[in-house]
Amino acid sequence: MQTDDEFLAAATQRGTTTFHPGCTCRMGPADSSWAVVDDQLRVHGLQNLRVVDASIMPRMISANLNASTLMIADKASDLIRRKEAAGGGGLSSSYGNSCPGRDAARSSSRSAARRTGTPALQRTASQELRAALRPGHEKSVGHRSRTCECIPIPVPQNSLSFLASCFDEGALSRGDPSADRAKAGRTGAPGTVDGLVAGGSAGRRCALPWARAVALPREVGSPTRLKGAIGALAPPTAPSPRAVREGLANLGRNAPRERERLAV
Amino acid sequence: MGHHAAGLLSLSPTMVYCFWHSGETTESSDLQLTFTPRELQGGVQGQLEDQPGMTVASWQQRPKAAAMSAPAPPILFKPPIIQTNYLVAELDRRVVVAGMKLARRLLASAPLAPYYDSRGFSRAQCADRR
Repeated sequence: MQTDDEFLAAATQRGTTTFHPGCTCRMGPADSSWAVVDDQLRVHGLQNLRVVDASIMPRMISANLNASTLMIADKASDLIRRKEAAGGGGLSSSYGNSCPGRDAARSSSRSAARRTGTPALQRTASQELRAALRPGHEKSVGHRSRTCECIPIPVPQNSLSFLASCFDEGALSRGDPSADRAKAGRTGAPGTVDGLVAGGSAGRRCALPWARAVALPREVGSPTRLKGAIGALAPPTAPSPRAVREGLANLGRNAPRERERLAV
Repeated sequence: MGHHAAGLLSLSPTMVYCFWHSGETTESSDLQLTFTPRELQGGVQGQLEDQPGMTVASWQQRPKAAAMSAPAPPILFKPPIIQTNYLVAELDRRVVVAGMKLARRLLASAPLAPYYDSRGFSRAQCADRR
């Protein structure tokens, strides 16, 4: 592979994904057209149904979803138990009385308060933490907003992976994705996936009534323009029905092993 | 690693991660690269080749193309319809190509030279990597 066209052709044929889905039950105001849950993770319109996973993220984050999802679950446990976070601040009560970071922050803050005469008891735990981390910057201690600032991105976005191997006939050229799909029981019909989503929360279905959106790419600088075969792959902003049927629709299908793992 | 393996220990031994900027977008990091000290069989995650090798994968972060989804008919456990629309956006295609080129640059870098064995490559395949 030498040219951009060859790279892209390889990507089209060999690209795969490991699916890190999120943002399909986004948190936001009840009067929005895109939000599924409120800031207590309750499904809008229902009283006792919560969604606790990466789907409640208002938009895709800039890293793997794992750590953030763990924190969402940690917070949700407090919400479900109707338990305020320790000190009314941002530190989770799940750490109980043995959170080293919080204890250190409070100890440091109290020490600072003794020095400055500032009453530390009036601060929240998060304020104490900030004060401890930035001694002498008391003005930077801000209020804790509980407002959900949601950015409307209507549909989930996943990453697409391409592999480059350093040995003969590497990963980009040797595999047979059609064989993988055959083994996975794919029929080739575009878009008829996934066990992954079938195992998701009930809120998804009520949240996505034929949602369709196309984000226009941000053109920046003078990037290298791909040419030739790219135009035949798909139009730049929306797929034609033919492209959907014949081409890119098969990208991102789960490999058989991944599918087994994800199926519910 | 067995094809039917499941669970945490069956995950691919991806050892190294890095984030990169393709230069195609305004984002500070629009590529994630992973390094696996084995060659993946046919590029399939979790399936390793018998011969030694290494694999660099490039992953576009936050692609611009939006997916399309629709609820399934009201049948329990019937999955919804999802069209991922990968590579539909031109910007996504440029970022992906940039990521693949970066993966090659990393494999051809001096620190990896002691571990990089091109004996298996054909002459044409080696030419653009050395």
